[in-house]
Amino acid sequence: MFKRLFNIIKKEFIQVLRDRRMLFIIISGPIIQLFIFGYVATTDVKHITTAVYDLDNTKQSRQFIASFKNSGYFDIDHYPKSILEVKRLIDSGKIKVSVNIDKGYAGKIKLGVPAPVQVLIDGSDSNTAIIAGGYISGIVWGNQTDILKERFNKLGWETTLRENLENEVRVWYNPELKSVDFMIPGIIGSILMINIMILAAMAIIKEREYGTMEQLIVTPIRSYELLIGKIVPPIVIAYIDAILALIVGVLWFRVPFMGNILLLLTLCILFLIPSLGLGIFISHISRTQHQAMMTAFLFLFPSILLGGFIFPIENMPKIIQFITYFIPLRYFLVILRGIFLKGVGLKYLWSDIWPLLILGGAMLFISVSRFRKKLT
Amino acid sequence: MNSRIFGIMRKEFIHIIRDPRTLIIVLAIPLIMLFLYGYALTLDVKNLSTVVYDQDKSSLSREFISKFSSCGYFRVIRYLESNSEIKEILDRNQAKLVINIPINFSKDIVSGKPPKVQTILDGVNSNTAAIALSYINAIVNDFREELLEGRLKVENIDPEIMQPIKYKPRIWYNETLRSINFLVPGIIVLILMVLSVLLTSMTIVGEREKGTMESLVVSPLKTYELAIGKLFPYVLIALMDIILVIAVGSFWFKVPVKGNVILLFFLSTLFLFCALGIGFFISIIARSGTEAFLIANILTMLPSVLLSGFVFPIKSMPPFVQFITHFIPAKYFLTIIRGIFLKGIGIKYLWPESVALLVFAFLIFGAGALRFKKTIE
Repeated sequence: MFKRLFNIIKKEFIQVLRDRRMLFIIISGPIIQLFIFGYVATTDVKHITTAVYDLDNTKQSRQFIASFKNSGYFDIDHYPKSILEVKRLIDSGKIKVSVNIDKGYAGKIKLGVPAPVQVLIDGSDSNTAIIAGGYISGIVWGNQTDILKERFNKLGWETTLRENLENEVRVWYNPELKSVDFMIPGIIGSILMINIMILAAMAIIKEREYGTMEQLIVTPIRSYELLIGKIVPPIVIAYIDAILALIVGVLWFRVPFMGNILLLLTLCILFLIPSLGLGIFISHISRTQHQAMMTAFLFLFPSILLGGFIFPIENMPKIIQFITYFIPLRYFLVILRGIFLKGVGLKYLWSDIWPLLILGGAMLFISVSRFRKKLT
Repeated sequence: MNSRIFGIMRKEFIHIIRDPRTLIIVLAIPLIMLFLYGYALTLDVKNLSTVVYDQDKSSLSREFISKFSSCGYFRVIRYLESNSEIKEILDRNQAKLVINIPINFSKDIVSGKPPKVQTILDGVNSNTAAIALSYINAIVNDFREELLEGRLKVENIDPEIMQPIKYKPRIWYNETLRSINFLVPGIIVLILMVLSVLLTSMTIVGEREKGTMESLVVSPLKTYELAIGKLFPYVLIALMDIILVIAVGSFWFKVPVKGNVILLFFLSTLFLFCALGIGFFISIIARSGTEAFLIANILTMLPSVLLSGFVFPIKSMPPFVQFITHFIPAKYFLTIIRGIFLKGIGIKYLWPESVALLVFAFLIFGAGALRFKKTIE
């Protein structure tokens, strides 16, 4: 029995290894994806294109503008001459923010009257706009404090009365708020899922499509032997991919790894089970590779978009949050990020481990029990 | 010639209709995706689970907390009793924000000594944390202003003097900053891209795999006739999808269409040709269906999500990657669709993107035509 199983596995590996192009895609794909994600998938808001429309053009107004530059978030490279030009710049998407200072800014500050400053923000990218708005408020606040300090110093006061509350903000786990630290663990999870699902589904369906299933039927190979033989190479390949991705993430992208590596690798296996079950299931309900692909997409896309990879699940409507409970990736992402960034152990991860176990068991059971060495 | 193209078209149509699953997929999937993602994908931060460790328990500290709980961005789910709970609750993912109010909070405020409040934020999701941070700062500053007002009355100081700069932010185009207005156009682009590539990437390689390419080779069909005939049905389907998703986006999700719908439709068609061209090209160079799928995934779908500006601002990417984005048609189309939807701008501002799409469409079909031979290897 083991000899038969061994031979099937050998045959599958030979098939995978023989197709060099395919092998290249399988191995390099995840690494490329990781690099793309690592460098690209950043929600960090910096280099905000900014225009300055300074009608006052005094020492004070230039100081105000300088504080925008110094913050490091704003790239000021447009100096429009009229409000119409400001509009044109925002319309064409050349700038996201415009700081407009009216005539008499410096004079009003000297007089002690509020000096109006208008900031236009392109809100079409709501996310950037909110974060940029936060930066701007901070900058304005800083400027106000500076001016007030000067004012109160003249009066001989030591405080500006504004320091009435101190707020110490601490950001845990990812103190610099680097989005790469958030993304890399996520991409490792997705790579695992995508690879194993597609490879497993294709390995089985190919046999049916090429008509070689018939030959297998007349051999003494048992159904389960065939199944195990078929899924071992995908598991091995996906696992290698995951380890590669892990190494690149930690060594190249310097994502902190706070937890236990052995725990992570063990839980990776746990996550392979539901993905595998899904892959086999897809091979059942599809007749051709084309169909299998489309069906795979039906599962992959929602998993990635709804699994908390980029978009936080807490913000989704209740009904969709309910759907996410059936997405294995959801739990695995929490586990990955927990081990990577928080360094937590089994104790805290348990609430995400048992759903994975149940989902994995159920999917594997459904798909395996339907797997037969049959033609149709 | 016409009848030959027509014959191929008919054959493709029959293929599509005979496989009802494909038909369902191409018509239902865009709608399901749009509905699902339109509702689910949001970057807005609201009801962020928050726990409070209020050591002061005074009316002032409660007032401070209520600033957080009443703004809608934060939801206080629990009150802690000890310092040691903080770490566990964050480690366990039960809360994202901890507000730690020191014991002499209200006494210090009254005596004019600034108390030190601590806010601990879970930074794992850097984006949520960054947004939350700006809300926290706004709330804290607001509270400071209120305290100040009281103080100024006591000291008898003109409140105007405390506000040297009157700062008015004004948001254009998406005044309420709904992330759905930003994301739905992106989802539409994504759906069109994924669907077109998915549809066409199997056309040629499918014939090859099934061995029916041979019968096409011996037929009097010219290469370009085969190409046109194969693609035309998918163009029709994709056009229907365009109308469908734009209608749902604007009528159901109420994403404002400030610009010209006709222009949008025309430029969508242009984008469609790019996407179909990519799928067609993949189908020509791939040797098996699996390969076609993987290439499509790696070369088109991922970049369309990542490099197009769908969620990740292109300006934040490294210069080299920014250069690559010039070759992503989805990037241009996204600028177009957001421009027309949200900004209401016309071809005057959008012509560079439109030209880029046109050039891309020509290049990809040209490349496909060069590589495509009606031969068997």
